[in-house]
Amino acid sequence: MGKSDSTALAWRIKERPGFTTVEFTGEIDENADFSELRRQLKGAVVFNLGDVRRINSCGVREWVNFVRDLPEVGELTFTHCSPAIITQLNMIYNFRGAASVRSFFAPYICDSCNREEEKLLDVATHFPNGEIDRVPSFSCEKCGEPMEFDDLPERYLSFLTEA
Amino acid sequence: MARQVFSMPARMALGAALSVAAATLLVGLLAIAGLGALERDLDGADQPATRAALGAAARDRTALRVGAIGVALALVAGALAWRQGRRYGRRIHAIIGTTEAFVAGRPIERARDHGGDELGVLAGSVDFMTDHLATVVARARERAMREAELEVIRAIQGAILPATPEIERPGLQLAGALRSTSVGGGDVWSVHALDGHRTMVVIGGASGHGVEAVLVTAAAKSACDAIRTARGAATTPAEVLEAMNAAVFQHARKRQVMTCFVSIVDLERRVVVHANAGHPFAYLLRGVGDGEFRALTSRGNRLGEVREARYETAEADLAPGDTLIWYTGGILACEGSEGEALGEKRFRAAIRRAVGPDAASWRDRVISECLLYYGAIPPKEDITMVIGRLT
Repeated sequence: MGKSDSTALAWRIKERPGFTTVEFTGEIDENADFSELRRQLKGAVVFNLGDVRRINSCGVREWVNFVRDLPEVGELTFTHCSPAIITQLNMIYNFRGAASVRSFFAPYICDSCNREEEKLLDVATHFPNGEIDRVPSFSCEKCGEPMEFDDLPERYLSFLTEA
Repeated sequence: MARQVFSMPARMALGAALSVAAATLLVGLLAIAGLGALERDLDGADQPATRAALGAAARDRTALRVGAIGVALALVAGALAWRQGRRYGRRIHAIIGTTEAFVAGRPIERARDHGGDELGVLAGSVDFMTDHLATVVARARERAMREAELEVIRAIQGAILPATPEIERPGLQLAGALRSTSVGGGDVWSVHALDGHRTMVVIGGASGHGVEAVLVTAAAKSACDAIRTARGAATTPAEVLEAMNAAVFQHARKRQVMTCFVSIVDLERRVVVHANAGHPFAYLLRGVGDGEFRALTSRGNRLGEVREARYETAEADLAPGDTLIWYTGGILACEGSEGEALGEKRFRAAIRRAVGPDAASWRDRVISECLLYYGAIPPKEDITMVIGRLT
């Protein structure tokens, strides 16, 4: 990648038996260039998006063009989607392209000790029917009190209702 | 550089004076030598007549020689002075040429005089001054262009934004605001009375900044106005977005996109119907203070992204006293002193804290809360929001 600072988008490709994992880190902006990555991907591919902390409007354009033009990729899955990715998944139809979302991070807060934490939620386990009226509950690892979902469920989880 | 003992004009005068003195000295020496030879000739002559004739002839010769040599020396001195003057003249002209080119706005050719005398120092100073002034002028031009661009942006925004930021509709009080960044963004908001009980609110933002972004916004706003005029009270949010998408797609040719949220507040049916083109969800706040926030969730392609865009339509029930909050992404994306964006959660907290007696004061307080969060960092995005209170 061109930029050398810590916020620049970078990725690491890991070959697994039967599929390829790509771990993204940094910010997706107008400098994002996926052309080289596009050429390397084929078959079943999993994007780990847990460390994508920010994505701006120009970055959305680059991303949308990228995910909709992966001719050699047979199956695409998003895992560990960060809140920045969830925000875009919620608002934009074609942000995921043909991908399915397997897991994502969601904000939780403990009202007793004010501890904030992003919990990894698994779509198949926590939302088996795609219904978002009930959110998973967790106990605070610090004080043991129940944590609350720290956003509006219908806002944060609306991507799960996308047809 | 070594300091010179004499100034340049003094040196020129001294040179000329020395040349003339040398010439005079030489002429004098030659005259003395000529007279010595004459005396020797006269000493050798026997007859007074012969001596007189010899004396006259010798004087004539000497006078001729002295005159010729004097003229030659004067010519040499003149040539030397002319050469020296020409050299200095050329250097002075180079300096004048540099300053004249600068004044006339022509490409500047630097004097490039590396002489060690005052003229060289003067040429170096002129080169330094012109370089410095060229930088100052370039900056001034850039600033003037930016100012001119901002004037264009303000003119376009003035044409597409509501004439007044506070709008009263039957049963609905609306107050909007758009605070542009120093480089001018592409945000827009508008309110359209569809009929006696239905009001359409449109809010959006083009990607990027500057005139290009504002022109995309203007194209989208024109399409919105056109479809609203054509369809009248039958206008739906999805068809407004479809028309705007076609306009942005045609205008920007995928170079730029725009997000937009269109709502129709229907006070007869007590619902808000909405469609979304990749824009942050508007909020519905039921009650004030500890009231409950709901997000108006609908999804669609950003304007200008694809020719055939899809926009789903959704609706939410309204109750007396409800408040609707529309905003653009910039308000959430701007960062505070810690480098962290305001985000949805802090924005909702600001809305709760800033409750005012009417829509206008509430809007002003929310914006003040956000600006307080941004602190000394000037917002990099437009700050745009609209508050609608059901009365």
